[in-house]
Amino acid sequence: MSKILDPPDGRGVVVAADHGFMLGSIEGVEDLEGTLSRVVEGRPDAILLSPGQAARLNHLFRGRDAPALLVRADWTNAFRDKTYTLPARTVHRRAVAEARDAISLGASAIVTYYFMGHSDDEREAQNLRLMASFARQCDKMGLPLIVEPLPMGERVTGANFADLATAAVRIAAEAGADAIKAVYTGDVETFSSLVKAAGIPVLILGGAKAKTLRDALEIVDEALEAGAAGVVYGRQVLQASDPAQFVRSVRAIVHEGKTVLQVLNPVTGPVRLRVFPERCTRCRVCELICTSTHGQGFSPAAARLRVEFLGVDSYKPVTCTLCGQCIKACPTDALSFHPELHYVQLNPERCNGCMDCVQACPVKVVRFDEQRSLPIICDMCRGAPSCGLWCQPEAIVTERQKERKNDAA
Amino acid sequence: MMSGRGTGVALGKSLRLSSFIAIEDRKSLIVELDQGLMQGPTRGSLDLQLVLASLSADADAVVLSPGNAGRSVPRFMGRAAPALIVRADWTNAFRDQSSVLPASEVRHAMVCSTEDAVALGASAVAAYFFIGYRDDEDEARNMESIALLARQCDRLGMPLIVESVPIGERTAGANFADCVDLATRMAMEAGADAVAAPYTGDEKTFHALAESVGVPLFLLYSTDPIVEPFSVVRSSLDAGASGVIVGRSLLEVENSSETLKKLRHIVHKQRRER
Repeated sequence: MSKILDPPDGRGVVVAADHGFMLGSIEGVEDLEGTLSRVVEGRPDAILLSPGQAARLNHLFRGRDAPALLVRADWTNAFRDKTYTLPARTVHRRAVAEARDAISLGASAIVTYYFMGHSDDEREAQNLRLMASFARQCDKMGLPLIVEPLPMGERVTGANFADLATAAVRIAAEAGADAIKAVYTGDVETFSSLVKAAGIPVLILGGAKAKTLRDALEIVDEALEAGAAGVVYGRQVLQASDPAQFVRSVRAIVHEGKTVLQVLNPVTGPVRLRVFPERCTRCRVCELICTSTHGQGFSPAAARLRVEFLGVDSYKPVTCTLCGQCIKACPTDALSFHPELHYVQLNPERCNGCMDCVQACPVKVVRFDEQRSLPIICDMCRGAPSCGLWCQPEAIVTERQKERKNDAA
Repeated sequence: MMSGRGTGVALGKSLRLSSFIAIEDRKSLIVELDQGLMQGPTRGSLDLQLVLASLSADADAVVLSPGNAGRSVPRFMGRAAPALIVRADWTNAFRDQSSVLPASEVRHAMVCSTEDAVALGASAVAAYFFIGYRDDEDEARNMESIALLARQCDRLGMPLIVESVPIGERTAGANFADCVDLATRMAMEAGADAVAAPYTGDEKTFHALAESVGVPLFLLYSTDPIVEPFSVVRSSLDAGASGVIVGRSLLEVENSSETLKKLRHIVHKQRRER
């Protein structure tokens, strides 16, 4: 299990590529070898394949840095709805491999479904029996079992979905699952209960729901906050234009503790702020997000920029221009330009609270924190300015600094 | 042919496949003589040993039912002989209205295990995977059967050929090509080492199929008697098929051994001396 859920943080990023087995050659899986070669570059912790593909594409899993192999041990027609070729009329699920088959393929775990919600109780009993038999095989062979419990069948409604999902998760855990793959319930509260009910690691299903990368990452972020141990992505990755980059972005959230904004706007070099006053609506979100990003809550009075009122419908954001006057004015060399990213940075230990920098700033964006006796200086959010990210009308825009011009003139 | 599979078992599969998929051109011509198991005696195969004698020289492999495989061992001995493929399953799907007892519901059953096939000296095992059953449970059962057969084959290093065929009204419409794609893809993912499928109807879709399925794809010629100019055969080979599997369609022709020689010429592009 430790190859899938990395011990330092107990989390995993998994890519599911077994859709072909259940749906035929849908978009993203036609040239599975080609697509997965690109996915592997993003370093997912594991990849899920059907038994046939696990054998054919075994070479992708060689080596210490390669992902772990997960084998799908059952098949179902449950997902062949009306949008697919030959839609299923009745739902069926069958075992297609045993634990020992997965082991001989070098797999680190098997993955199976568990459906709950059929109106026929005999079907429910069969479902449980199948899961239990997988659990016993896995125990014997020392192979982890990952179960994907899904509310499925005539008795599932919108109202009972979350409770049914939680019940199915708990039943799977009690039957012997070592980890769970579950649909994110949609909010932190119900998902936290589900995670608690499971008592074993729960990975969320990425699903096809997120329309943009940002949406997908925000769902992961929220699920992790609610206690998820990671995420399993399928089509979202396989159909992405840059699968490796997608995986890297998810890894940054799951394993590197980055925020969604940090991932979407990686620091790539020195930046400056460019202002288009005619676009400004004076919403002042820039001031709010400035203090929020710097851990000061929402306090416009302490922001490192401000929006000036010039007249009716005429406003102007005023930001740090990197002129360097504050640096020149400082008697103790407490201020300097960051060597690589060229933003103004403060060394608090050297500051004597003289406020010369506040006086020196030609646009008056340097403020002073009386309590800590330190200036409040714009640091371009260390390379990814929040004001530039959040300004909707694009009155403030982040730009690359072209050359390291000597702005101090 | 079989990229990157593990050691040991994969060597067995590669070796056995190479006994009927020619190394030079990666193509194969396979003749099915197992109709008796599923349809009773058919015109053209009443005396199986006679038919075998007349067709062996031009077939790369012959598919036989388990019973006849045992009885026909001498035909497969020696370097010049074709490879033996054992039929592991049975179906009533081909018992149409012209049969003495037409099938009312399509049924499928397993009749032979991989171990049995190994003992018979087989180079591969063949089974059908149908989609389009009226009751989806039958599809699930069929999938289960071929998947478990695939697991046995993996353990023993025996290649598995799955003939993936859309049947019935549900698959007979404009979605036929998509159904062929669905059936072959599911069979490959379940563990088939090669798949056979009926012609999708045009080169473009057949080519797409050959590209995406990732394992050798054979044309399953099983409808009308196979006669010149063999356009479907030529089109599917051009579209990327690894060869042809032909059975009843060959036996119903007047001079099947002549026809087979001509097919061989098309599949392997030259007369191969044995």
